Amino acid sequence: MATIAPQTDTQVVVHEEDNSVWSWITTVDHKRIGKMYLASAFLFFLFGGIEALLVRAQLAVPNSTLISAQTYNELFTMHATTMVFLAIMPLSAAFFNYLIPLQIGARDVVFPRVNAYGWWLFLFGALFIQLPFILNLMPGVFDGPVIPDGGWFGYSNQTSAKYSPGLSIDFWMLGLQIVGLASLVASFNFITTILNLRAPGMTLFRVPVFTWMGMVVNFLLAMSLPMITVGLLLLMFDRNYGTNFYTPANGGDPLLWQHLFWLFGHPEVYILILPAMGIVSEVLPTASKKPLFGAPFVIFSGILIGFIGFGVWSHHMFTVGLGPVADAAFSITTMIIAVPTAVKIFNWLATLWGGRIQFTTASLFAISFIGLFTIGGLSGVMHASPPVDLQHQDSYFVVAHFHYVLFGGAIFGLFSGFYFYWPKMYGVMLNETLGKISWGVMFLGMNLCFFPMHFLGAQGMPRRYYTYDAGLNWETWNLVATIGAFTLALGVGISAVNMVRGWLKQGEKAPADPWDAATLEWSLPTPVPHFNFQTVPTVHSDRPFWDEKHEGGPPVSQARINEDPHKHVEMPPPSYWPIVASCLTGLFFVCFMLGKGYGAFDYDAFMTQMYVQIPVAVALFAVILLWSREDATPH
Amino acid sequence: MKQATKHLLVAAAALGLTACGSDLFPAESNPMTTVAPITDMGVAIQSVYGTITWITIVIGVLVLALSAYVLVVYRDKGQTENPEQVHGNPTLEIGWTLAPVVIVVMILVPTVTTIFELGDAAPEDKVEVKVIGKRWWWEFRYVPDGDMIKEEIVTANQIHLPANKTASFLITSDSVIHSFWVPRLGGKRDAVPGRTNRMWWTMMPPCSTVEGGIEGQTCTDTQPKDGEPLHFYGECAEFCGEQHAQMKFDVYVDTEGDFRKWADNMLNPKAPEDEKALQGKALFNELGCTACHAITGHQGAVSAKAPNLTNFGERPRIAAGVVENTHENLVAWIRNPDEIKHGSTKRANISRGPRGADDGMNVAPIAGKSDDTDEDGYPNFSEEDLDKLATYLRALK
Repeated sequence: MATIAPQTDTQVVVHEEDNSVWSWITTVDHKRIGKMYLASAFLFFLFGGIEALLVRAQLAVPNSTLISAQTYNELFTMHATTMVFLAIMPLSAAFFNYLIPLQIGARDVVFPRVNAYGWWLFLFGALFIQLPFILNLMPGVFDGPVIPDGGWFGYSNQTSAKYSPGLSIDFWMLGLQIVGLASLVASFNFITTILNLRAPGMTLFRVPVFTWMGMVVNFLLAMSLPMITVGLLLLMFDRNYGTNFYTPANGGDPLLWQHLFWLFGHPEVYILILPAMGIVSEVLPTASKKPLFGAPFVIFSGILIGFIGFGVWSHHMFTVGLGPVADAAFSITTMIIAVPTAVKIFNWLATLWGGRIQFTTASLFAISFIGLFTIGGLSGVMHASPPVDLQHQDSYFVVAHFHYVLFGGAIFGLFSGFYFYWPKMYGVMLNETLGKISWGVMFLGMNLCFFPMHFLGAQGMPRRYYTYDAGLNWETWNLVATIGAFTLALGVGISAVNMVRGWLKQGEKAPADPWDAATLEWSLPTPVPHFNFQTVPTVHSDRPFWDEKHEGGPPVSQARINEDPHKHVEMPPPSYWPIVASCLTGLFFVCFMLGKGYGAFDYDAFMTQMYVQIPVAVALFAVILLWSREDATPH
Repeated sequence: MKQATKHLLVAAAALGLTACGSDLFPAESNPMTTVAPITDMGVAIQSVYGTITWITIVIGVLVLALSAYVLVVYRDKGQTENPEQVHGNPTLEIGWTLAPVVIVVMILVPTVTTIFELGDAAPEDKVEVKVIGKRWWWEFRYVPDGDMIKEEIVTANQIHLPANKTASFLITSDSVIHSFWVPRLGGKRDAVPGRTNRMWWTMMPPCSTVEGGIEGQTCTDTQPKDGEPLHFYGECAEFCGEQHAQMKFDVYVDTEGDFRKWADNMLNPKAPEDEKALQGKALFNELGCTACHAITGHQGAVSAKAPNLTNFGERPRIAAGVVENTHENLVAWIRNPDEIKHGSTKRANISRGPRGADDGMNVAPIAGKSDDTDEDGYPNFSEEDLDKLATYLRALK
């Protein structure tokens, strides 16, 4: 077993990169965009976590008066909205951006400027959704609540102008449209990139599993986001212009919203979990020094989960009274999803079987992902049965279930990704001791916080209750869950400190291939040069770099294939048009705030909206025109 | 390894305990437990629930045990050689694709049969109650059946049901979506404006008379005695706005005789005779309470906008389960509803000016004696009036 000496970084001449603020604002480099997604989404993750801590603090004891009902409703709404749309999704986008081109041997994504546009649009939308927290500090200026308070699911007709008359729902509704558009733009970019920019010889089944999951997720995004876009558009028409899509009194149907929302919302669950599964599928083989067991099965399961994910939405609606036939049908499709999911779990275990398992922080997170996700998956099978769901629905059992999936699953997978890819992204190793302590505290906190919620659900405690009576035997487990939440926060805090240290380059300098990994991104020098691959390698297997190092396979690393370290690589120039265009796109949506008719058509408000919105639209078209006319000769 | 196996067995036993829900969460100490059913609906749910719980726990323990085994056995022991590079094994993989299919079928068969069982029409011998979700309280309207329910009975936040008949519910909402849930008596059904959902249950016969006991339940008595109704708690399970957590209700299961007495008393309540109560009755008209509240036997009080207050004195809690029904709490509730339940429609509907409700429910012009209001337009009632009003309302029983 020949082991090639590690490459030396001198094989590629890296010029000192311009690190000015302007260079970041105008960047079209997928690596920089990925890092910006990571930083912003991690901050939102911490922010959403603080909201969760306030919620748990309120529920620590019965009849607590720490937080008012209205504030509590705002907190759980913003906790979920932030975690789903502004933390987990963009954290996944961070890894897609950074890794997909590197994993497939590309120098960037297909549309680097559209990529930048999508990022700035996301940031605009995310800040717009959070803006009410600042506006809320100005009491008396706005009539009614401004912080979104209708739940992340925003069920109609609670969100109608009649029952939510303030601006709260408008911020939520328009903000989601903006971040949704950002995701949609990004999804087309990644799909085309994976399909078109693979290195020579990289057939689809030689594409790394993370990138495969990225492709499935981006297809899911491209197909499911239009559903919520339509749903939110109808909501906007109801609220602003007095239509009645969701108003039962005038012939509308609030259940229409539930169908549209969950047609998006259930694929969304897989949008949240599949990237983490992709990361785990990279970390576990590396940690056990083996290939992923049955990689085609893992990939096909991912595709199957994506497909069936579109046929299960009504399992969120077993209690609304769709009738036994619909309930039975959606129960069957839902349980079928358990099959490809189980296949993945078995394949991960088989990957570890017979391996030489390295207990790094990354692998600890990935290994615990398997156990925690298994628990979350199994409790999901329980309420896939409609009779059981009649007791589970909207109880804390469901809260336990999806936190095992989304925290034990998605977040643990993403944390595994932080520790695994940090050396490549930032050129320094994260501190392993801190990392392992953080993992231990998070693992303990997560189980202390969320496992008791199964019991609370069995004891009949409903979700979204800002207070509960004493004497129902809910006190103990609520207190335990709160203690768990704060433990969990401590664990996350330790990792946050670790990452800030790593970001400030405090720590051991990272070698190019610290984990002895198998895929192309590790064959590049660290820091990765602006153009990624000076010479694009030809790929002969699904583990090209491993084969080069250990099996005497054909070389793919720059150290061995790059003949001219000074070779000029043409890259797209930076541009400020993407950020200008994204700001105008965001403003276009914000203009809808002006036309608010509070549930009826208000001609004056509508005209005000038009007077502002039309010039914004014209400016946006002008900017797009200028963008397309800009001299973009590669340099 | 032996030690590890031992720990695993202990862990498995601990997990196994959670499956015996009614042992872990018995009704005596868990008034809202979902796993100690006493109706046919609850038992039907519990039988599927139990099966699935056991299957998932066994699978979960096996997978976790296998993971633990793999981690211990295949940890890096300082070898220098890399392990054998196994890429897969189609036979194994097809095997562990088919195994979950078998398990899913095992779960689906009882699931689907139970779905259709619960979807059946209710038996003929029943008491039918229309359930209307309001913001944030419940209205219950008993459908006349010519026997026990001679005329429509309307009540709020409290239901009485006879133990000997099926209880059938027609569930809807006049506002946003709510969900009607009495965990001990059955599953939940959403109250969706514009449609009516059905749900029904029948109390199980006394446990001791059922051969082999009732599945999934220790032998607690399911039948009330005369004068000792069974008391259960209900709640709203679908987020419905600010006071979603505060729309609770009380369910009493009575003997047939007790239920008939209650129904007759609801249709022909005794009028209070106490002097102070009678003054309160006059105030009830004078202050405009009749604009919204109905009381059977109180002439002119017929409006269905707000909770029907017939026999209010026998209700255990006020403001949809927020506080005990005491004189002091009732006075506080009328004096300023926000203190008991912030954002309640009671306050909005009788407030004048911009803070008042504009949803067609506002009765501000006729509420209160004078234009004396607080800064939100809510009438300032005098303490004397409040005392009399509360006395009157609590004397209704």
